[in-house]
Amino acid sequence: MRIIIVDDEMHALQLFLADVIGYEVEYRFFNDDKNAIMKYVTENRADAAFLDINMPKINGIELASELLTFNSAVKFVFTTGLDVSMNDLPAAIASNTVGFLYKPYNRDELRRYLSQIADRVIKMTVKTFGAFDCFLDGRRVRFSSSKSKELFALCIAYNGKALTMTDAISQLWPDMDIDKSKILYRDAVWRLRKTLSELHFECIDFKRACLVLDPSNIVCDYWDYLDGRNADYNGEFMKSFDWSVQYTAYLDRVSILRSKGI
Amino acid sequence: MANRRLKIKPFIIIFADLLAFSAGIICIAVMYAAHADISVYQVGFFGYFSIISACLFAVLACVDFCAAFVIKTSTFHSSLMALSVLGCFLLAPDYIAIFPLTETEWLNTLTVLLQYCVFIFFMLVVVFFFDFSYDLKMSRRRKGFYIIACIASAAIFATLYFVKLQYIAFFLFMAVPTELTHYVSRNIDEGNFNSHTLRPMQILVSTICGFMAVNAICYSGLASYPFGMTSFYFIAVALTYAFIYFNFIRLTQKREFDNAVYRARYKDAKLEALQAQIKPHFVFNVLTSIKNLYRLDAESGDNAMDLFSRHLRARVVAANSDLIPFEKELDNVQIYIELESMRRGKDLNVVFDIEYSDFLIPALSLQPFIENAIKYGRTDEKPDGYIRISSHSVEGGVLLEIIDNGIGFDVGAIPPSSCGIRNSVERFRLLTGLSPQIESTVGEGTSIKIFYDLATLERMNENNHC
Repeated sequence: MRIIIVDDEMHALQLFLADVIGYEVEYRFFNDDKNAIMKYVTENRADAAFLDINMPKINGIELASELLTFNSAVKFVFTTGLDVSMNDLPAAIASNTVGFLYKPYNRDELRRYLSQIADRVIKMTVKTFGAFDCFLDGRRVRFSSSKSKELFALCIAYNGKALTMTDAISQLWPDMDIDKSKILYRDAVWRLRKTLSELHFECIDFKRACLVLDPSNIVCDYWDYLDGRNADYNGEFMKSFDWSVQYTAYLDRVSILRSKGI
Repeated sequence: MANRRLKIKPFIIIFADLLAFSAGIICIAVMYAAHADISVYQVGFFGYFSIISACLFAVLACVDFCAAFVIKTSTFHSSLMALSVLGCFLLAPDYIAIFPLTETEWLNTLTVLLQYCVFIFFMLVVVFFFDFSYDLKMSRRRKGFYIIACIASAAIFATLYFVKLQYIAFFLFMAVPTELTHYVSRNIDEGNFNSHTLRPMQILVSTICGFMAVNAICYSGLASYPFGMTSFYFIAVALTYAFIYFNFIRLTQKREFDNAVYRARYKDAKLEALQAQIKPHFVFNVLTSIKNLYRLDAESGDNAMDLFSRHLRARVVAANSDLIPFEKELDNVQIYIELESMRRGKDLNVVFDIEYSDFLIPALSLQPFIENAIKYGRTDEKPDGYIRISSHSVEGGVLLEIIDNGIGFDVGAIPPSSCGIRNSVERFRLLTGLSPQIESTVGEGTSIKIFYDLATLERMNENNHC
């Protein structure tokens, strides 16, 4: 994969460099020198371009439309300090735009865009044995509240079954009165939805009073264990959650049966 | 520029008023003198009513004269409307029928048509004036519809007139103005102020339409003119003018909802909001926390930096936009809360109870309420302290609430330091026409309620699509 990066500020460039280096990409930096860029793209095929929008000599959006004439499949990521959205771009450019990288750059976002450019499917790894944790692209997912994390854990434990509001409330807030727990449930749902949409990993279908998990891009040790694909179970399952006891009991039974060779 | 206009305007207004006033007197006098011998039309009655009308105009001119020095901007609009009304009734259909201006028939026909057009134009002026000055936010489609409806009705009127079905044509006088005035009074009622004062105007316009209907019947020869019929019409128009006029004076003085004032106030509110958010101590405290976090570990420093730059970006967006999607505002609130928790070193218990979020809200308008709950409500000091943001579909609209169980405060004495709240309330009023209800009980907490009625939601959607 070959990427060109155009930015007039060396500062921004250096930081960027440090971030991109981890990936196996061939990249090339340019100041806002249009001739040099044009010369390069005529000789080499660039798969993607990271373009600053406001530069003294050239405008990133204009540059993008010129790059399109060389390679109609080139992908764009616009780097900018201002608030720019897809609506501000001409349609031809918008259809090739992967996203916007706002300054100061966010590494996770940068990684995501690079994966998207390479058409790599991002998988979430979910660890359930021991403490519960999720990793997206090797990085731990930060949930904005412990209950939203717990709700996600419950979705995982449900293993593709639809999780209804009543079920979730009886597991997560067993001793609370119904009105209060409904409020907290909605809070957890809202936060979970925010977290996942911020990660651009929308794996849950938020229906009315019911959550349905799409397991296709999730790798989970618990599911693998049930399918017999791994045997890491060590007697602990999502140990920080109270409701996990019933699952641990079930897993214990499975492990005993397996050790007996049944 | 604005100053110069203000200086010149009173004189223009006075001049226009005097002109209108004398034109009225002259017209009445000329007609009276020219047709003094016609007994069929109850000249006696006509005479009395003419004098009363003339007196009314004299009073109005005086009021106008005084008002020109008291209020500044809306007088211009009022005068414009007054002139339209004047033009309208001086060319009233029955007047022309009874007192033809000339012997030439085509000229009379032309005046009748002209009269209709003036009347329609007057109604359009009313609607657009309200839309412009009181910010009804009428959609472009709706405006287009009105203009087309008016042109179409004028065309129908002309056709009917030429095929000698005048009496049907006169009924048209009822349809368009009634719809227009109805629209205005309905929207003003829902919108910026509850205006029982505008109801009389609507009733009066409907009354005039009624008079016109009777007039049409009489004119067609189906019935004979009752005593002083035309003069009633005269009086009704004059009274409408009076009502509209007095209402304008009252409204402008009371609510200062005039366009220029609105703009100035909106600009102030926006500036104030921006200034309120750029709290140096907040910025520097956050920067200090970020610095410390970087010392602890680079990743939490990065997270904090991301949050802070997103917060700053939200401010930039807020400076350039008025209404933003509620979901986006919730994002802003969440960022703010995370920064605040980071700064305080402990989590703030904020519950997002969101069931319905498909509506617009002034940018960064929720933050001051949250800030207040943290700072003055001291929700973070109670072990079970919480702030709850909830939005639910309820009967007749959507209810947005911000509730905390902090120490509460006296609503009458909002501390001057929390100009953020007042500013937020102001922007809600200016941009959405809704007014947040703040209730607070000392010792129990505070609740802020904003009720989006269906009409407001619909209007916002309509504007969003344009």
